[in-house]
Amino acid sequence: MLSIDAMSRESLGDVEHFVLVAILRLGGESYGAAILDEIEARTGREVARSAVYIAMRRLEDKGLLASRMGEATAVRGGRSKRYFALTKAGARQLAQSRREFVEMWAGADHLLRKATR
Amino acid sequence: MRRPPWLAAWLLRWWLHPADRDEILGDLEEQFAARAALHGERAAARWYGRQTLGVCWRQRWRRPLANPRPSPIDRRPFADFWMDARHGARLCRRQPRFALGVMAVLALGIGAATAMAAVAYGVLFRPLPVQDEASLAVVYDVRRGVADAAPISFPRFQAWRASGAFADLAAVSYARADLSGAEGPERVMAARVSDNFFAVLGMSPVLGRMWTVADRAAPDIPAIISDGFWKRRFAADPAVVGRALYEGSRTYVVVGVMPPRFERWRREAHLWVPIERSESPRILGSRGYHIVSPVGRLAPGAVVDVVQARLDALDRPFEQERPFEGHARVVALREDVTDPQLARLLLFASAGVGLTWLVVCANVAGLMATRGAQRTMEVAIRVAVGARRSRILRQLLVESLVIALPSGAAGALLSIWVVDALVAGAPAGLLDAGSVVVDLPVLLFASALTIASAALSGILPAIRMSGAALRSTSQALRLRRRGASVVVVAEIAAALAVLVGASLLVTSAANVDRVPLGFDPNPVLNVHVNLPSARYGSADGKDDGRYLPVQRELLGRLRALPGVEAASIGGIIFVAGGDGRVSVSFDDGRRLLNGNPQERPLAPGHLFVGPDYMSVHGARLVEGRDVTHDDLFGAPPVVLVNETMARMHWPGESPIGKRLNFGLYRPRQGYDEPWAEVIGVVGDIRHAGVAVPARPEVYRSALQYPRQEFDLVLRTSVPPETLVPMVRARIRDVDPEILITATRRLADVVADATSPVRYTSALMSGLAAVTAVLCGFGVFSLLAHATASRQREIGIRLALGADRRRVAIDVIRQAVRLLAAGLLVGVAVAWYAARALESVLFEVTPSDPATFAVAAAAIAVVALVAALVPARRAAQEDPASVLRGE
Repeated sequence: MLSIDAMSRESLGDVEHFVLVAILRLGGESYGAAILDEIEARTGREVARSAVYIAMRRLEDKGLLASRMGEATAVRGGRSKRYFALTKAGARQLAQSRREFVEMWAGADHLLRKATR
Repeated sequence: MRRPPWLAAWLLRWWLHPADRDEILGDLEEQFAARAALHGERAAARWYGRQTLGVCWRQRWRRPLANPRPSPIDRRPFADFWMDARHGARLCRRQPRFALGVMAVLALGIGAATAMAAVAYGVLFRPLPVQDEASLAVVYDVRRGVADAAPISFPRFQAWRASGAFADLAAVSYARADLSGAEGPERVMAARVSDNFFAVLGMSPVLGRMWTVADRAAPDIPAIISDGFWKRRFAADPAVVGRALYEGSRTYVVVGVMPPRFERWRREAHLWVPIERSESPRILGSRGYHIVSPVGRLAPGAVVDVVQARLDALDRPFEQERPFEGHARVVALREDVTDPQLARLLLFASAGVGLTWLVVCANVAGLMATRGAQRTMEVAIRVAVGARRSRILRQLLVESLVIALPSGAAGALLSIWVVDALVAGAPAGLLDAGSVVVDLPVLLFASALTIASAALSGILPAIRMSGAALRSTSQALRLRRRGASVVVVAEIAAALAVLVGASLLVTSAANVDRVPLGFDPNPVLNVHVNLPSARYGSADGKDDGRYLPVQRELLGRLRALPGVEAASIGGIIFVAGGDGRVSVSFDDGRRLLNGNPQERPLAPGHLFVGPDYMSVHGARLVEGRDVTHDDLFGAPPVVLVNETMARMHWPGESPIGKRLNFGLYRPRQGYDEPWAEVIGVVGDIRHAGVAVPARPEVYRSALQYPRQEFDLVLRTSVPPETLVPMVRARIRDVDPEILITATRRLADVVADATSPVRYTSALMSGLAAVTAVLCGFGVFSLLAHATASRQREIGIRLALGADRRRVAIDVIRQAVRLLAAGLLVGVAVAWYAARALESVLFEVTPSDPATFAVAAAAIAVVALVAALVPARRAAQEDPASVLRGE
């Protein structure tokens, strides 16, 4: 029980992971719509909108993301964007997450192929 | 610029916490625009809708994104509300049977009250299909003792219109129109109106246009038709403008169609035509023809009384002139269209439904209080950990709202169904399906009622519970018992009042049905026909020998029909509210003038009857002979009189052989009609209404005065309605052009006249039954509860050796005390309420002691039976187990 709690505090959930990678790719153009489009374009599936927003809030609370309100545009019905950027801690967490994944997968690809065949 | 669907966007905006709104809505809109460009707007709109639902589903209402769980102390105003509501919903789930029971009872109460409101609103308050009805008024002519709503002459109307007493005044004259043409013959009500009629009312056709002065001068008469007529006769043909309608030699051309409901807002009319084209200039120019009822728009700020005074001043110079009409009477439009008797019945029924609703609330309050007793501990704990009384009160009220809201929704649905049934079951012309519907105003009422139900049924237990925790148990118990007593007394009183009202109406309806009419309507079929002028000539409403051959042929053919016992001709024997009278001179020099207020009550009503007319209707011939086939046009005139006429005008002697004259007397020329000899006396018949006593009456021979328009009356040995197709066929055989404008069972005509009373009494008795059951149920549940709360006391008494019978009697005595108080209050309420019914009751006084006694006895039986169960339960209590339980 305790160990699971401890783990979840350290490692990232799926959606959180996706959000952080999307922000990494988008750089200065990271805001809700762009992030959602990026995730959808890459994964090929629609993610729950609320889940993405909630994930971004949680990441911000954890200090892995920073945000600022941007300009309002006509295409948004005169509403402003909230831009996100990775913090140092966010970048570190992402790197660690990736390393964990890669470590876990090392040499397992052919096994997966066999299992799904 | 493409916009996302407004409803979804609005929902989201309302749903989201303000801090998140800009970001999420902006993102969605941006993506929407991109998707719309790529996949088309409809696909994008669907996507937007899905996203909206997804966000609302995942996201709690008005919570910021970052914080999916509520914080322990939430200061926003709705937070408490939702918490309490969730708590209430949990309670319902824990006791589903209790919750469903309460909801069902409440839904019944709210449904009944909403349905009643829909009817009362539809009939009495729904805005009329005219603009600004408050500034519209109708003007009648009053001739004291003769008529209080008579039409006026056209010149008088013109003088009034020109005077400026009204901002504008329009003339209306109602007439029947017998239409022919490709769509078949049909009789409709037509209104002949002045050009400004529609402008005065502020209404215009929804299809086509108003007629213009040029239209009015064209050879074909312009006509505007009603929505109902358009749908019925023209199957709602959008190209109806320009179609022709024929009435005799006249041709109407349709120029417009009025909106729905317009045809029934005052008197029914389906065809509006210019009065100048449909009445002859001679009639329009004369002060002798009283044909128009004006409707006018008051000038801004004008008052009915002032307008009335101005019209009186205008009339004054003509007062010496003959024939002078009477005095103007200005009536506000709303007052004019409201039938006072129906209004009274509706208000009474509304009061009954209101009382039933109160009984429902009282029952629910009782049930909630019973449950409340079980929750005293919960409340006590909450108070102990620091909840304020107001906070607990609020919680309990929200909980009752959680129960009331679904009940209100169910009640509103129920009311839609009930209103449909009420309108479908109502006698013709009583409820207009277009006006009596469950729509926005009615639903608003239902919502208000729901909230009121929640407050009423929740507030008593709530106050008691929130206070109970603060007091000692014994104090709380006493208070609870007193509250329950008040509820029981109120329920019994309400039930008694409703029952008394219902019984009075039922008695009244039964009395109406029992009145001897003087004729038997059941086997009689009435066929109203009109001979086409083209073939038989037009006599302008006068008698004419040309009509005689065809009338005799019709009679002969119909008499030969199998199933027809006798056939005759004349006028319809029963016209509800009819009060036509005739001036008459006697051979001894007396004269009675129909137009003279003093003489009018003595002047006889007057009907034309053919041979066998009396036997067709099963009326008695008291003395002398009946009209025969020899009393024809041109033969010496004969007349029958009724018993009242004989008694009133020839007291103590036989009228047979006396002579009457119905003609005009001119000093030099004498009478313009021959004298008629009284040949027989017939039994009294109630012609004008079941509740209208017989008046003096004369019957002249219909064959002596053949009319273009008449009734064929058939006495049948089979159910009359089964003969209708054959009768129509026979009349067609004689001449296919003869217009059959109505075929009705006489029994239906009579039933229609009494149907409002019958209908209301049926409604009220249903209501009374429901109320009595609810009242019994309420007495039972509250007494059971009261007894249960005395369990400990009863246990101790039994343990100390009290007699079991005494204990049971004690419980019953408590019930009897409540019953007595309830009946006392109920009698007072019913006494007062029943007086409002007086004018609609027939041969039963509103304070009828028998009715009160029976109703009180019925309630007493219900209440005592309801008390018996808790009494027995108390007596069978095992003292040991009760005391062990403590």
